Amino acid sequence: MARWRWIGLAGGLVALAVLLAWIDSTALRSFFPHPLPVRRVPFRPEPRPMLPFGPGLRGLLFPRLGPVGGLYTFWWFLSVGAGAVLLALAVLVAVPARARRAVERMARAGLPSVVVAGVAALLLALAATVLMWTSFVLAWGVAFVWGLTALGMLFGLSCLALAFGRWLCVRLGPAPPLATATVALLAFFDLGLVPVLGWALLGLLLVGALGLAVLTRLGSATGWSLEELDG
Amino acid sequence: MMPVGASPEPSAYGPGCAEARARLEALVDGDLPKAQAEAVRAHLAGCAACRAHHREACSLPPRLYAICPPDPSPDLVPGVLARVRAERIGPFRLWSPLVVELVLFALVVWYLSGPRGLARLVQRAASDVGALAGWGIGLSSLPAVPPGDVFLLLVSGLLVVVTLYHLSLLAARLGPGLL
Repeated sequence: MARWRWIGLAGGLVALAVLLAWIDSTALRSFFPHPLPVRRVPFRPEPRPMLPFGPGLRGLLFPRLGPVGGLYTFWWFLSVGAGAVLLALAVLVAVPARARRAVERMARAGLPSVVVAGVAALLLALAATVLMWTSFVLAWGVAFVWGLTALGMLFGLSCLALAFGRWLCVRLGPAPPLATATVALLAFFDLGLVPVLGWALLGLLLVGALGLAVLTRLGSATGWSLEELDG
Repeated sequence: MMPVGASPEPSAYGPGCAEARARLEALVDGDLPKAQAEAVRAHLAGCAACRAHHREACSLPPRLYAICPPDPSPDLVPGVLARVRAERIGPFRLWSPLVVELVLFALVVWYLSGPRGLARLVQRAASDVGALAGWGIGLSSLPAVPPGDVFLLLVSGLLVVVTLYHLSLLAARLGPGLL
């Protein structure tokens, strides 16, 4: 019985994602932020060659499926969602113990502390960016700082999905943790696709994810203890 | 009729059993006054059910001693220390840095003439970093050195200090931290 409940929920979330992606890519496309104009282009890539299959064969096999069509299109939303879900699941598979520890500590810290830590970490990254960029010789570190921030967000998102999956387990019955985390990630994806509000909710979720990663030092066993430095 | 060799039912009650059983624990511990101890022993001599209770009571302390105490959880000491530390860090100390951070951030936004100025700063930094990477792999020329601004540098430095302090406070609530 529990299995069918989980399958039903996952199917419903996927259907909702498709519906929301269709709404976002058609009626609400103009509401999405457009990329900022680039001030300076360092180099121009050479024109890319066409893909090997020609329009004739493509038109014959898939008459309604063409190019993705750029940002905020239907397939763009779905491919971003699928990619994000897979990346988050890959984190859970790669570092399961760290993810479990981070979730257990989050229960001790509480969500408000996690969100505040995320805000502080973002401001720290921003301030460090200004300092390093102004120094010029350390400007390469800016990419490192934001790469680390993105990694922290991804790890935190996986942990939040694991925690939300556990919460769902209590209500829907037992299921494998990876399956529950997948359903939780689908729910997060749907949340991000909610018209207009979705970006704000997704932003809040990512800030919380960053805070969780920072507070638990990516789920490290010793937390922020520096005892290991003592030898 | 009780089968031969079977011990009597410990819950069976006879005259004086309730009083004797209430004193069994004290008798085993040696806490009973001499007269009462003698009375209980006399009852035990004539009551098989109470003797069975007495045997169980006598075997309990050695059985408890025989149980090895479980190893403490590795998180026990850090957890206790974290809880003590968290109690020491009051809510005012924990939340007030957030106000300072937001004020500093607002100051930066104001200084840069609003969110658009902040976006331009971030965009310029990203573009310069990209150009620097392009220069490193020989695809573009070295970008110009960005003009510095002392006020922005000072506020950014202060923001770094405050956010690091705040994060260390928040992390200290979860376990052994930097503080």
